[in-house]
Amino acid sequence: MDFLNFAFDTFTLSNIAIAMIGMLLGIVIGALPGLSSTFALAVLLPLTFTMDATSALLFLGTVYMGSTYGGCFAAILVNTPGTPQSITTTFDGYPMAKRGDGGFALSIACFSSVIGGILGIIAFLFLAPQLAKIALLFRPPEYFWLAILGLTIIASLSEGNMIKGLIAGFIGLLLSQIGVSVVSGDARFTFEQTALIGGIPFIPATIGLLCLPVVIDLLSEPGHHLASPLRARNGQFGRAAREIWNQKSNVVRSSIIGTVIGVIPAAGGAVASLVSYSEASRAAPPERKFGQGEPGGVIASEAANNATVGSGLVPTFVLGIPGTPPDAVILAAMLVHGVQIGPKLFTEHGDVVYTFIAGMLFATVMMLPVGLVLGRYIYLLVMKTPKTILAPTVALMTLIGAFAIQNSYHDVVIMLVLGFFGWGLTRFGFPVAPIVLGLLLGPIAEQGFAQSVMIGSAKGDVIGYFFNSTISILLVASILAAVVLPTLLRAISHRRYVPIPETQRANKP
Amino acid sequence: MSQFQRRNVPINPNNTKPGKDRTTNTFAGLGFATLGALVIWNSQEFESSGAVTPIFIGTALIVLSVSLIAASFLVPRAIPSIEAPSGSLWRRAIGAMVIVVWVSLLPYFGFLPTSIAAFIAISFTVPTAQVWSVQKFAFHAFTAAAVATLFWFTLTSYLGIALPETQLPFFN
Repeated sequence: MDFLNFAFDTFTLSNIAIAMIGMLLGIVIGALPGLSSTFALAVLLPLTFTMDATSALLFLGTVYMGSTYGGCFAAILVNTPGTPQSITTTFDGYPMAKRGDGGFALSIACFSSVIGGILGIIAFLFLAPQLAKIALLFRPPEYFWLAILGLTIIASLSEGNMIKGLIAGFIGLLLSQIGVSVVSGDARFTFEQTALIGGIPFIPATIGLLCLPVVIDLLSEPGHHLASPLRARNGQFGRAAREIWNQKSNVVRSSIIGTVIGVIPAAGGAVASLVSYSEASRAAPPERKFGQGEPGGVIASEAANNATVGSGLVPTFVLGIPGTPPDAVILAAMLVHGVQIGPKLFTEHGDVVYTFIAGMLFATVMMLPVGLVLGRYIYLLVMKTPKTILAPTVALMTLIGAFAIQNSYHDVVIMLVLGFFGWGLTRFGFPVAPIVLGLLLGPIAEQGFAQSVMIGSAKGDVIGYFFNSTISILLVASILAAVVLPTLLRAISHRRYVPIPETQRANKP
Repeated sequence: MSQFQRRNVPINPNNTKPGKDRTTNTFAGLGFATLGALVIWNSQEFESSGAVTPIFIGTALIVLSVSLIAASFLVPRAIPSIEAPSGSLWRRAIGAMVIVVWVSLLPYFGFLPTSIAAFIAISFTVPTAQVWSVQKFAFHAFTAAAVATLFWFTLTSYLGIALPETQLPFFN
């Protein structure tokens, strides 16, 4: 009832304006390759210093939601994920856009983002204390296994190419080892370059590995970047709504996965969208070809990454542990405005928290009409823009994205080197997405692994410590399933192949 | 044609040249195995707590690389074939060179001049059916200046990002 009392306070003209402006700014910044949710929040944080606590949180919350959704625009239309959470959106979103279904892909991404976002916020509203307990169940071994699970899943998604996917994942882990160790303080693999002391920055590396190869490939062929729309523009809304209805179990499952993973500190939207994508592809009937333009892939990715926005705030608000960098910026804003974090937040600062939640819900609902309209026009703009303008514009955005995060020229150089490295690897059949995930999960994996080894050694049972909880065993079982199941399924399908007699084979073209 | 078929679809339609791929995969596997070995060797310099993860990664790289080499010899058709890039490799190489030159000159000439020049150069690299004319060049030069200036103005004025300024006195 507290929520309903305070919810009405949200609907003042100023709060509605703040929520809408925040969401629009978030969408625009998130849509630019490399400019992540963290960047959007960090850049816009100073604007909130003159606001009251409720308006400030509302503004930042809607920026966060908008930028998470905005990442899908570049991911679907240019194959360059605007945010790390959108990496899995490229898997099916871009093939859809290539065949002329870009408007449809953006529409289903919008629907999924809104549904996922709402479910995440509702979970935050009603289940915050219970969900916070999940965060506390994760100790070093669980973090280690979670990181390995993320890598294994993305490797298993590398269609019949799991060994190469795993190698790429471990290359990403290796890249994350560059710089000063968080565990021992050693400067590792820096080759006496001061620029490498701080490690490989994640955003420039992501832009290099994922966006630069796209720019280079754009230059190789004439013609338009995307095919013309397959259907009339006006038909996309109804078609997308029907698709979402047909895939309601996928939407709900992905939103729940996003909500649960969002609660685990450091896991974040990238892992959530990956796990939900993997589950969606596993649960889908065989005729749905994930990775080749299947709408279910976009739905799974977008529903999950937006669900993490609301649920990711649980550990921040209840425990004072920001699960992801954007949550840390929101936490900073709360501290600036004198909002005390902790389990009593909902009772002592109910006015702030409940108004914030109601505003987030409102902005997320409003994201539907805004996103659908924006999606339609941005799609047409990208489709009609000739490559002679599109390719240099994307190149410009990759350079700006790499530079802007730390105002560092070294980051641009790192982006460039990793971009050419990634392009080279794809020519050898190695996927680059696992490298990005390895880089993202590297610090989590290392901290989990090294701390587990140290604690296990102190207890006299290193191996046993890695397996001494139900969550660890469940995660290990999931890893084994991710490795074994695709191989098993392929072996079963091999058995169904029957040798064709020589006489018949000769007649085949 | 594959020896095995289901519904007239070859077992792995992509892998039509397992012999060539075997060589490529073997070289790639050897390269990554060597990298893994170097990582393990280099990790001896670190504290034990800082060395444990790189050693784990190095070992995993060696095991996976050996698995890749073994798989490419034992079950070559289980590994999808390596697709040759479509389109012009020369244009890719020229585009890559333009980007390298752009980034190299960025600290000296600043964001605006280098970005406008790179924008035009990349536009020229894209294959197009139309013949380049003075009007077309003028249009792309104008577009380059407009796009680069729009980004520069937005980022420096509204987002507080200090894009590189030119260091040459001639431009100041």
